[in-house]
Formats: sequence, C-alpha cells, structure tokens
Amino acid sequence: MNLESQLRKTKPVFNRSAVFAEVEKSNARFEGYSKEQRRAFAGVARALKVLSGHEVRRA
Amino acid sequence: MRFAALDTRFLLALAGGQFDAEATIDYLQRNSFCPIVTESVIEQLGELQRDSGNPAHDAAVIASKNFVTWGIYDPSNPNVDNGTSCVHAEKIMEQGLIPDAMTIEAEMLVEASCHNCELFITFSQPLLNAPSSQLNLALIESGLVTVTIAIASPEMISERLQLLDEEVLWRINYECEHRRIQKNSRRDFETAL
Repeated sequence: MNLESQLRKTKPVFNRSAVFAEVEKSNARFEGYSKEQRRAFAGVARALKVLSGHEVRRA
Repeated sequence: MRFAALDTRFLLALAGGQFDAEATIDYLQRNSFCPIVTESVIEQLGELQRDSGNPAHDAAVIASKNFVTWGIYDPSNPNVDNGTSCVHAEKIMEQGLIPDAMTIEAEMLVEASCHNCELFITFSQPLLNAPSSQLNLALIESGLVTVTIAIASPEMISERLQLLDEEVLWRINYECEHRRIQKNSRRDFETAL
C-alpha cells in the first residue's frame, strides 16, 4: 500500500453538507438545553481532550 | 497577543481535513493570531459526540481530542462563566441583529468578543450576512469588549491567502528579473570596455 492510499484509508470521510446539516440541527436542539446539560456536554468534550493528552504521554 | 475565535463547523471541517479550514489556520499563524474556541463550541462538540450514528460524530471526536495539538486554545472567561455573555447574546437576538440565526451562534460571537477576539471565523451564513457595524455597536454597548470583531468565512480567508501568495510570487519573479537585467547590463558594460 503506498502512502497516498494509506492516507486515504486513515483519513476520515468528511461529508461537509451532511455534517453542517447536523450542526444546524444541533443549534436548534441547543435552544432547549439547560445550563447543567450544557455543562455536562462540555465535560464530555474536555474529558476526551485530557484523555488524548494522556495517550500522547503514554506513547 | 491577537485572538481569533473559531466556530463548531470550522473545527469539524478542520478535523475532516478540509482545504479552506487548513488554509485559514495557515493564515492565522502568518498574521500572528492565536486561534481559540469558546465555551459554546466545546459544549456543542460534546453534544455532537452523544449519538454515534450522526454524521458529525467522528469529526467531533477527532476535533475534541486534537484541537490542542493543532495549536487551538480554550481559555476561560469570567463573563462567559457567570452567564453575562449569554444574556447579551439573547439581547442581540431580540434586537434582530442576526436574522435567521440560532441563539448559540449569537452566543459564540459574544463569547468571542468577551475574549477580545479580532476575528470570528465561521461557516454560518446568518452571521456572515449580519450587519457588521451594527453588531459591533451592540457589542460595544454591552461593555464586554475592547476591540471590534470582524466576521469572516474560511472561503474568504483562503482567497485572501491565495492573493498574498500570488503577491509574494510576483515579488520574487520581479526581483529575479531585476537581478538578471543588472547582471546582463554589467556584462555588456564590461565587454564594451
């Protein structure tokens, strides 16, 4: 497998219109979320950030 | 230090390796901007990760894991933490300054201005079409900001970057041509002697 095909395989498929449509839906959902729910979402994203840092250190 | 805020769509596009998003990061680095993401963007990234079936899930996970390694920061701000920015975003929406936008988009903009960002990079058409001067006036009235904020799309920035690159290439070509002419005229002068 050459480098280009390897890159194509590891790179995630990004369908811009589908992703942006999902963000649009998420924007609408955010109208109904409470402050606590939003804090919990931020916690999920931050946990991944911290865990990925841990993975880098272990590697 | 100059700051530029990035919205959720931008981070997802960057995670997906989109050309205009990558070019925007190059542009920001070239102009000494420090890219940041605000609290609402982090919250939305977390929300998009909940359902593994949604098309934005993978990009949201990649973005959350890697934005720090891409040189993007998520600083905290007291006006964001205590909810002041949220109140001002609602006020801007009530005033109809961003027609067709959702509250979270206005929140991202107000949060960016709380961080004194000079640039807000977004793919959101309602924000890009909003009257910039009136929006900046509303932000100044809130008393949260010290700088005016320009709203730009990655397409605009990659066009700008292309123009800058063309200018640099033109200068290099011009200097090479100028040196060649100088060298030739010196040689002609020396042979004439």
